[in-house]
Amino acid sequence: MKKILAALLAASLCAGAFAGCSGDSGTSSTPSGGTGGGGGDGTTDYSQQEAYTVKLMIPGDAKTEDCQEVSEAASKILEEKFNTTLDIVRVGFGSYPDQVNLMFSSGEKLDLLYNNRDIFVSAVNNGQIVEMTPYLEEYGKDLLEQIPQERWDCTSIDGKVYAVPANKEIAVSWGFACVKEMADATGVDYSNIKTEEDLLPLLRAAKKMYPDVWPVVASYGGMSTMNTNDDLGADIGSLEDCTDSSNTTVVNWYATDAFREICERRYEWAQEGLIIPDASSTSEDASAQIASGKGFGMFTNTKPGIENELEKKTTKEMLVFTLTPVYTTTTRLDILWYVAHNSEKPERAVQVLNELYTNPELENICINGIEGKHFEVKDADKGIVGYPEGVDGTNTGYPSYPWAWPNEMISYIWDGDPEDLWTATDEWNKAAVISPAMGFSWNNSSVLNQVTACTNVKSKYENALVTGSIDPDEAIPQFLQELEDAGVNDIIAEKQRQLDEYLANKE
Amino acid sequence: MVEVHKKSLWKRLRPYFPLYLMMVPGAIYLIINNYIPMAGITIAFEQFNYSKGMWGSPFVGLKNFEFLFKTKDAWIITRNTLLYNMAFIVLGTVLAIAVAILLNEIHSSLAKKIYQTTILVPFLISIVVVSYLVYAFLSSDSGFINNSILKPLGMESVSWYTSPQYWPFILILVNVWKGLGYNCIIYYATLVGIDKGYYEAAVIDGANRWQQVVHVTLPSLKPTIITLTLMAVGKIFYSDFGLFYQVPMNSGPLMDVTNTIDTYVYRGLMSLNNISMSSAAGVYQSLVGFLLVLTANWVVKKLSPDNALF
Repeated sequence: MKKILAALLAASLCAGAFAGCSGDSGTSSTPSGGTGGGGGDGTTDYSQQEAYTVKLMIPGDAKTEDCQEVSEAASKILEEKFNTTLDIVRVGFGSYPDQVNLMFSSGEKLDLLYNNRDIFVSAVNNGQIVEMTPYLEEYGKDLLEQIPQERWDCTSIDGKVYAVPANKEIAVSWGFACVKEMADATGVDYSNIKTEEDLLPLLRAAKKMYPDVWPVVASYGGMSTMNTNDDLGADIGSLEDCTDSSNTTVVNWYATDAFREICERRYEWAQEGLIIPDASSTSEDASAQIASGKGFGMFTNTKPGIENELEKKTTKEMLVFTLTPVYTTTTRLDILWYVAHNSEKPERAVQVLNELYTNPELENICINGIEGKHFEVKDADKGIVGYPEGVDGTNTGYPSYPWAWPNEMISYIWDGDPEDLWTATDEWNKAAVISPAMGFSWNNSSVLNQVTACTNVKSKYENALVTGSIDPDEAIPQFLQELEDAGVNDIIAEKQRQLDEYLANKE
Repeated sequence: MVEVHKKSLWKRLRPYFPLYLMMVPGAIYLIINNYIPMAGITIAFEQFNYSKGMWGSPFVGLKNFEFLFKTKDAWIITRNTLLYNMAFIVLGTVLAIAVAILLNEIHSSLAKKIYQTTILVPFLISIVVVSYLVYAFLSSDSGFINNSILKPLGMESVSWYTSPQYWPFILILVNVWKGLGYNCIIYYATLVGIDKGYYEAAVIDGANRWQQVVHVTLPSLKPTIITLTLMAVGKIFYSDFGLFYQVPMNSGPLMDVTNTIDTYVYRGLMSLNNISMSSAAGVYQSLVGFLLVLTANWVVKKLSPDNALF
């Protein structure tokens, strides 16, 4: 009797569980089924479309009421044109990835979202985002026209487009930033600093003059390396020097002489007291340490306007030395816009994205908020804006992060930035050396075990090595051995195979 | 037959009916919160696809579990997780009981309250704050140990965050310090409940303080010790993420002694965004925990049937 009861109970439990869950999957699969039939009415006047609300998610903590107000202002434009309303949701940078994952898995309504490149391949493989190709032809005409093919390549897998790359600086170079006042005080002639090695006299002089300040500080336990390697999307296996277009051999960057040289130099520096101790376990941003007077300089990426950007963070006038050529790779298209799998009408999401990318009025509202409340036009001719009286970065209800939006280059320039910021950015992009593998998207799904193991090995050694915390003579051979045990060669071989295939198809 | 059985079942249950009624809310909570979501175990065996959902994703068998066993890290993380937890269980229990007994011996109620609160405070501190407290001791730049202890003694300063040999002790110390107050309260509550008559009888028989502890206090604590230990054994394959990730400041060179299953999975999958592989790790942990509880309970049952959990 007891057994029967138990069995019954178990059965009803299971039934409940199944019912509950199949219900879930039912709702989440309907939208993707329904999308096929949507769209395609062939007309160009979209104002009579069925009413729809596009929910958009972007990081950067903002007040809910301010978001609503901005959404309403943006909706006015969109309603007239597309009978669409916009609902902007902003979440803090720290919790953004978790929030996005939660939205994906709960099946809650979500149409458009910002995310960085890191999740691109996994999001495609996991079915978290929707393929855009079928909608671009009709709803994203301007996108197709304005975004160059090599950028589309970077956001496509097997010829299918999955994301729209944000239009911003897409090239990078690496360099060293330090406090100008202190550098001047040392009296060292810094006009000829071209490589990391050249920094040494300046760092030594700074150390001598300011014994309580560390010449080089680290950011969250890491330090950028001054080189031009292309990591081909993610994971281990890179082109050692992507400015050399003739070489497309995938190598283990940690096994190269260039990497060893960097580690050896930094280890020497650390021994000399030029790098802050415990650098690999800092949990602070380098600019915060410079702001608090603990640090003199840091390694950083460079781009047009970088001095201003760093000055805002460090509150000190900064001097930036560029130490590598300007180059661009697939990974540099780091901000992408996706359509979520739980979008009920992906075509409408693409339509809004298209409008955001091309309509300065709409894009400016979304980026900067309400005129008079969140920003004020300082110079209408030059398109320069600033904070209204009494408002600043710490108390605004709608902080402005232009680079996070689809197209910052059609938005206002903030007071303090160079007036020609967008032209300079455009020139910067054009001047960049393009990696021969630009456009290649690495798909790691066949070597996931090796990737997991290698990521762990990497987190054990990488930061400690590039911050000079451990002796490379001992650590690098161990590092390489452990990587090999973790299956790094499988990853590199697979990457090489995919890259060769990509290059062959490209020709 | 069935009829008779039904009646007798009802008859047997009837006297306890109010008790069963009291169990209902808890049982409903358990079913909704712990049993229904168990269907999610399926995710660990498939290549999960968000747009296809839990029942539509392709089944891949045990493939998601491979990454846990493939490398030689598998041995290190399993060893670390098990050994640390065993040390935590043994030391944590012994010290908590010792402190609970000492507390019980204090007669001034004001002093008792002060001590109790003081040892409970660490338990209430967030692990992130704890990690900075530890950092204040160990930092090479401004740390208390290097600057105020080793330097005056004329000893070479130690770079703690790159020296793995010290960390097993540091982590155990931190964990015991943090958890002691809470465990101690549970034992202390049992101690307070022990019938004073036993102690009086012991005193009449000429038992001294130590003999009272050995022959009265400890035997009375036995059921509590067994229950708490069994529960802890069930969690032996889980590690306190904050303790192993935050307290060593995620320092790479320490990873051989600080990497546990949880931190390994976190580091490996954070960038991969792979929900199936993380579920596989979770399933593996609970399965081993489940088997260990069954075994431990079986052993207890053999040794002292009264004290087994089930």
